[in-house]
Amino acid sequence: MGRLSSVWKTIKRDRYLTISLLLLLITWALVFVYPAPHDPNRQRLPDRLLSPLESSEYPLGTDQLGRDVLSNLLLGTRASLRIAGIVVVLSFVIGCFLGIIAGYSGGAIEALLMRLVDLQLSMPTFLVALAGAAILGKGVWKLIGILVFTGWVRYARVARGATLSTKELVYVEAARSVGAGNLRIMLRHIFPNVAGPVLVMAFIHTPMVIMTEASLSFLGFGLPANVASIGKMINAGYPYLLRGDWWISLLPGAVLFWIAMAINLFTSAIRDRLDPKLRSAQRR
Amino acid sequence: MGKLVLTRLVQALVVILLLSFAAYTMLFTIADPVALLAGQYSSQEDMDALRESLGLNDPIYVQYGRWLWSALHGQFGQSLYMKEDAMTLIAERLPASFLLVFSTLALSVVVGVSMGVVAAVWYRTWIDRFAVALSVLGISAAPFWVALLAIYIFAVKLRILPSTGYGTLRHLILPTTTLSLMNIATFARLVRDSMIESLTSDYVRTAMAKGIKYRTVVLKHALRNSMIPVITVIAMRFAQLFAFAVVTERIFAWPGSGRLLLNALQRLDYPLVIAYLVVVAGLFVGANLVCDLLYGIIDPRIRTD
Repeated sequence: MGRLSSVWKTIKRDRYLTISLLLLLITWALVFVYPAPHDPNRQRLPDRLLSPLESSEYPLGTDQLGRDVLSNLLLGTRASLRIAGIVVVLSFVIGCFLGIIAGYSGGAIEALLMRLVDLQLSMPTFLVALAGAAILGKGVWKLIGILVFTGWVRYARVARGATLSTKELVYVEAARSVGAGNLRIMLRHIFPNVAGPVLVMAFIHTPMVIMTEASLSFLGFGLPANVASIGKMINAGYPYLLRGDWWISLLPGAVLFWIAMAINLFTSAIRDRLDPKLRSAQRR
Repeated sequence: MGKLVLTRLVQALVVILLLSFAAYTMLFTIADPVALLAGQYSSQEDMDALRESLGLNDPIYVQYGRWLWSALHGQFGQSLYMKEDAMTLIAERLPASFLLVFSTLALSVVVGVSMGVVAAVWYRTWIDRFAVALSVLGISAAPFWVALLAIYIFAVKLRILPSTGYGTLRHLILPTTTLSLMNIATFARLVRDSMIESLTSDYVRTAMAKGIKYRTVVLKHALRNSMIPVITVIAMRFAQLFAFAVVTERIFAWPGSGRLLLNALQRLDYPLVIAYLVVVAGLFVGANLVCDLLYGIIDPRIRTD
């Protein structure tokens, strides 16, 4: 009873966070738990270009080859989210690791790493990803590699900044004076302070990765032909959009929009909790 | 001032050097333009001859050295397919891209900054909440999806605007607005957060206490101080817009340099790809330089000598 009422209090106090969390959960359940009703690759020409709700068998209609839009949408979204998840985790780990080492050790390592970061940030990410994807050719892991390559620098920058501001703190000095090693200090004392801002970065980064992947696939440089993909669906539906058959292109984009919105709402709700600097600025 | 320009120039050179080297090595170790260039039905001898004539049999560092040497003389090589100087081809297409990017940037700054100021002035009222909600929606919408949505509504259904083409103001409306949406949202949020901080600071209270009109305080005192972070982001967005314009140009059949790049990438037309990357790196550094100079104008405290 007491516990329940405290949960209710939290919900009432932070409606925004609760709503966005619910949105995320519902989206996750719809995408990953709801089974695809048809084989996404099954073509059936008599059923081609059915509009949504026209046939009970295809609730979201069919595309130009008679493939079920809903099934493709589900599998494409799963692929998008998995790729984004892997990219964000890898970028987070690499960026955090290098950023903390740079900030903690200082000197030549820091200078070298930060020049590398500056260098990467002096080209538009999307263009580097586009050129990389075109040169390397299609492939899921190639795409992931490219997106991690363009993504880790943001994390490294944030992690280094947070490390710089914590490493001079008294308790770090205290830990060192009682004989804690560098590794222990970095893991136990610095990482917890770095994790918050870098986590915010990860939440900001996730919708960007989803959009970049979709844009690359839309342009024909992203996922290979055998992987269901939102971007490819949008591209394939474009000529039909001009004839008035809107659902093949616009529905997958709407799903992308929905997911990005759920993540962005959650980010702005959680941001001031994880980043103390922002919290103080907003309370004023 | 001179030192600043020099630093930026050195930075541009380093970026261009490393970038061109990376692109060169990748293009020659991973992707082979010859098979695409010669076509499906060409014989092995033809392909070997083509390879030899393009100088692709030399070691990479020789090829790169050759490219670098002619690049230093202003020659960035010929497009493999169009048999024309790569830089000339890009320069021909740049005006259309510039038109798209600059009108997008102008629209985003004007609308985004005004939205941010309005939201900050009415902080914590429904106006502010509405503006924040709009900006979350705007940030979440992928530009290419917004473009398709707009084409469906305004070109296919309502038939009041053209879906593709170039030349008149009417053709500019859809590409510019759809590409602006994301930037408007970003700028609005940024200006709002920055303005809220400025409006609660001591100098604003002092100015109010002196009896200066609220409108003057907001627009002259607070806004000016809030623009520093915004200008940094605008400069970064400029080059990013160039990249995202590639998608917009493709959708609206806009005859800019982005479509040239897409074709070049599809056919591994490496002189053109590398020349394009050099142009964008130059633009990015240029935008950063302008931004550095603007800092000095807006805030004399960070003026550098």
